[in-house]
Amino acid sequence: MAKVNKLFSDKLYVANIGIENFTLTLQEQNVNTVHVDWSPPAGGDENLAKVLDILSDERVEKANKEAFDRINDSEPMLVDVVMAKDVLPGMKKNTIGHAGPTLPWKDMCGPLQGAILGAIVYEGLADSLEEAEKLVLNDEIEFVSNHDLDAVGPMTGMITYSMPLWKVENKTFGNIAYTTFNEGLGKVMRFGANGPDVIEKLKWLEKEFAPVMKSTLKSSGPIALKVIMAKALAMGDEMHQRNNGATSMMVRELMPHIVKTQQDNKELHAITEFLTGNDQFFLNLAMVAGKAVMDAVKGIEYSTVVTAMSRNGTNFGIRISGMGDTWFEAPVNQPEGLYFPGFTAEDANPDIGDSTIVETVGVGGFAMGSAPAVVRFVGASSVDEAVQYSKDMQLITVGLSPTLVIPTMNFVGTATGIDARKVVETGILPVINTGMAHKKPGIGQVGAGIVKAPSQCFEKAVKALGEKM
Amino acid sequence: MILSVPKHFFSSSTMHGTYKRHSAFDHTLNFIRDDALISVHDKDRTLSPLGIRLNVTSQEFQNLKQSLKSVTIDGEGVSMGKEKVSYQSVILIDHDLKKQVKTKGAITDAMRYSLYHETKKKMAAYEAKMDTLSRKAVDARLLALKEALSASALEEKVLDDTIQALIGLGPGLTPSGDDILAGLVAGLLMQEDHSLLQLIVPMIQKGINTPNQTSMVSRQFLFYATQGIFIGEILMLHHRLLLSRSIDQSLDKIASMGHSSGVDYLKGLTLAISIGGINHGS
Amino acid sequence: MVHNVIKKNKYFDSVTLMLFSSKIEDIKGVNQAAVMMGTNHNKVLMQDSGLLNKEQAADASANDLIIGIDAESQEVVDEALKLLEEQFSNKSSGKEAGAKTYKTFDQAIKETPEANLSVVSIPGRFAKSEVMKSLKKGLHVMLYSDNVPLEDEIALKDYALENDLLMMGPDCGTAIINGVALGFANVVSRGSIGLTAASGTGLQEVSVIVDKLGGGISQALGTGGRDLSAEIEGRMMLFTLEALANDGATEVIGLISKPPSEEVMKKIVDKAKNIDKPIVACFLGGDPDLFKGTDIIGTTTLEEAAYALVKTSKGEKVDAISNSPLHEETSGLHDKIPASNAPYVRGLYTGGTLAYEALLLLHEKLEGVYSNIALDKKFDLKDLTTSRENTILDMGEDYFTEGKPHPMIDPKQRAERIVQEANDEETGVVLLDCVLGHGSHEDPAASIVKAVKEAKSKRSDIAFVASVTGTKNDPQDLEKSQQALKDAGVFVLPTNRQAVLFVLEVLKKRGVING
Repeated sequence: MAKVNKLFSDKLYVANIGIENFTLTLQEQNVNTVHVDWSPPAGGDENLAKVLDILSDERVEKANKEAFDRINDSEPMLVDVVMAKDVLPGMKKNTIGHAGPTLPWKDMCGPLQGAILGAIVYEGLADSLEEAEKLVLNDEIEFVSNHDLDAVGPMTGMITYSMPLWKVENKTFGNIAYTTFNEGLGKVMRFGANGPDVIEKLKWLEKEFAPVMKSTLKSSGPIALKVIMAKALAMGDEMHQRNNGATSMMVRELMPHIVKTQQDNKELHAITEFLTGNDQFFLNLAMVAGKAVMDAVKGIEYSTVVTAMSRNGTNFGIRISGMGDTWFEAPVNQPEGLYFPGFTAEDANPDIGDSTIVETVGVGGFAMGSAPAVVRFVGASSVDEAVQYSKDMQLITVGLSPTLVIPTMNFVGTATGIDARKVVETGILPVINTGMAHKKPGIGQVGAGIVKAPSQCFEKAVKALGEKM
Repeated sequence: MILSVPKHFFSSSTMHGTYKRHSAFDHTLNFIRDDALISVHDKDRTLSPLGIRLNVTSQEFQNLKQSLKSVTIDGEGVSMGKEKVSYQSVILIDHDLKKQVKTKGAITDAMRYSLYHETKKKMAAYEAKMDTLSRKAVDARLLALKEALSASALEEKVLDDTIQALIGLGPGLTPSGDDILAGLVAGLLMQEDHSLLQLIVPMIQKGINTPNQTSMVSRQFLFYATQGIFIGEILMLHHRLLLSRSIDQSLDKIASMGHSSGVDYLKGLTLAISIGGINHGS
Repeated sequence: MVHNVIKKNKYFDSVTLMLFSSKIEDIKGVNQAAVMMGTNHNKVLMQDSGLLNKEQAADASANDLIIGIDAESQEVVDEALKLLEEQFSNKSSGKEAGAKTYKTFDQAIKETPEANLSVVSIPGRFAKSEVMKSLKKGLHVMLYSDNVPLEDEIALKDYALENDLLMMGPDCGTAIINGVALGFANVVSRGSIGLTAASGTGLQEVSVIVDKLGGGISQALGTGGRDLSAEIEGRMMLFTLEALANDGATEVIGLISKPPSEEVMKKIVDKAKNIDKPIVACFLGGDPDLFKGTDIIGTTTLEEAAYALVKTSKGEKVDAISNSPLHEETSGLHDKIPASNAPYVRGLYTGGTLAYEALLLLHEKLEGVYSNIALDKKFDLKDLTTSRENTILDMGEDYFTEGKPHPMIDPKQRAERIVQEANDEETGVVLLDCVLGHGSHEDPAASIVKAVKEAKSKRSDIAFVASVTGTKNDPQDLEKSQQALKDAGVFVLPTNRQAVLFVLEVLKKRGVING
């Protein structure tokens, strides 16, 4: 009876789960109380609750632990610059890779259509946007999901035949992932812009910038991206909407080797201007690091760990380890946040891009607590709120990262390894920091904000795995 | 999913068109088209002439909020997102007090007497929550309106000024002054005081058509009031009066609306009733 | 100094606005304040009162919210702004009052490992997994929820017993631990009497009477309504008996329940034999002879149990209840009983055990009483909307609480029923309870007073009889409640038992039953 009788002599400290009024009456009596604002598992859906019961299984726990370990053991290294046509599986002149799950042309949102038409012109398949559209309507263009090309791209995520790509190798597991160069700010193809200036910029990246980067990496040798990411968290980045620290660190790594391999002063100026003029330069590298890490986690039987989250502007898709390359999709949500002057919510396109791979690997919205400067930009009300987001994410992941830690939160690791079961059970949805594109093609970015992954994706994924058990 | 739709959405073709998402509350989403505003709310809300009531709990409503971007109303029905519902398959709620008075009758002197006294009693129980500044301002202008209305020789200019002074005045999403005026019109309608209505309605219309005079939501409520359209509880109140039923519950429901709205509504109502003189004696 | 905040195109629920404007003027140092939509008139009004700067006024349109605060110092403005942000961003009042709020138990316990008791009030079918989480973390549990499956209750109690933890409930509404009122409970003096009960209002009534008689409570534990059934086998009752036996502060033990099954009874008697503290039992409706041959003092009503407990705790011998200082001479009240030809009693209860006790005391004397908790199937009240002959209603039962708050929290439904009974010309007596304490409505007596006044305006011949379950230290104040009822012409008796006995007096005086 020791425990009961100890209670009678101890000071009462109550956890009140449910009716709020009880918390209030306890406080009237000056009793220490924490309140749990309880909501039913799986939002009260009994079928889902049954599936969760089935998945509450030792095999799933073990598989998820394996996934979690693989994430932490991964060492993504930036090794080379290569051409899409030389490396991507099945890449043809008329293949276009885009963000998110594949979908028919007619269902694509404005920015995605705009970017695709621009990409066709860029590849020289058509002279004008009108002609490009004709090609699409005649089924002359093949669309493919970037994720199926072992690649990722931000916003519309255009990847075409002639584009240069960063190549990243996961040193631990040997798998490779690719991504495009970040085009910079302003009117850019990733936001659906497709004017002549946009295409000219892409040509410069292909012809001038890429060869220099290739020789630079040859000179520098492989660069450990996770190390830069860990340092950037300490510099106030969350690596989705803020990459100032990571970009500076990256440029510092590259600079001596650029100077060594590039003798032409004019060209050197153009390259350094491009690198130092774009705070988001590192975003694509954070993404490809995430892709290289998460691909190593694919296909672990029974695992409910999310290996990819991505949006094509119409649907949000996720993949879970135990279900291989199947996308579980639901309509995307509208981000909530702040708009650039002159734009309103009316102008914003729904959520788009492969960039959610950074949240999948545990940074971005998951690490918002480390980035006070981004709080206002994405429309959160306070730093406390941002920290709370990061804390909430701990409730839906397998564990905390041992290497990516948040100094502002007492060096606690970022929430790592999203467990689809926990998302369904708690109803807490992965939080994503994202940019917002104009819904009309060709206009570009109109703001930034926070968006939540739709719950149906996770429900579908969990149900599918439940059936396999 | 749609539980009920106000009848005038269907019958008045000026209502027809597509309304774009404007603002979101816990229980309500507002949609606008030009100057007109309609709302969509969960089933916990009372019957509003602005709104489509959905057969969802407030919790389910939170999930819907994101996806509802526009609402289209036409002669056949209402479309929201992927759902299109014809008027045959929903409950149509009649908010037309004017018509109800015409078909069922105005209230008699005895009813006026009990309405006046029960309302006074009720108002004492529900003190409007208002800061001192607003209370003073609203009370002063309410008194001015009362004096203008009960003057032995009614002066149109004075009346107009007092009415304009109330529109958009005071706290609440629907400012107090607007609620008082809506209550006043409801009261006048119930006792078929046509001569006063003919004077007052155009004055209110003038007021709400002045830019920035009042908020969008309130403007819509007042506009409806000038058309004889009111919240469901006002129609219920009239109905119960005619049947000599207890009006206690109806008054409770009205009084407990919103910030100060309910009590202000009742203030306007008692003002309308008292204009003709109330027999205070035995 | 004046401070303005303009929320552009921002709409807030009226409730939020109301909370803010009603609270902000209460802040010390705020001269005046207003929260308004930026309509032309409101802007002028606020400018004229010095609550709005001209430049900022130009910024606001009729669809923006303007907040103006005129305060003595920047600190006061800051305080008001903080309140503003709290009101606008936090809807959880738990948070507002300063309790930390978490989304899940796991998170809460991680942040506050010192928690030692969980109070769980969630839908019954979810209770098992949530309670199990608490037990596994070593927390004692009070489970308020009902509709918990029987097998879940067994599993939870077995786990708790194996780990030496309290698992009070399901359907446990009342407990007092270390002087803290949990759920629905009264503020009673602390003392040497330990209680364990399978009934909520039973526990309240006994603890309150103990307090009135000058006794005190060490611990008051609940076991849940089903604990003494043949299925649950008194698992928690036996455990709590042992806990109280081992508790240094407890000298006398009281046990309150409906009669247990025969086998459970045997177990309890066996357990009691090994406890060297006096035990008083009140098995409502049970035969007091059940305890013949044991040391247990058997009683039949809650008041008698409380009286026996206090007497025993003072080391005195238990004598007849008529010697109790609470026992009220009713002769003075007799003269005031209004004459009536209406024959029937209508009991409208918010407390379940109190209703049950009334039923027990009246059922035989009145040759059967209709009820939703009838003692005899024959007297099941089928249509609960209308009373029939003599009727006692437990208005905390499912039919009345489906989708509505419990009448102890919101007495409105009961008040309406009082008026309804008065409209029935066969109603001669209306019998009521009035339960105070933490968790209950802030002024249940006022609700009765209002209804009785309305009823009396129609029928002056009805006798209204009530008792108040409360103490002078309860938030609602016992004396104030009693006085309000008396002023409204209600016959107020000190206990539920005495209220019921007075009802019989009324009926005797009116010749409805034989005196």
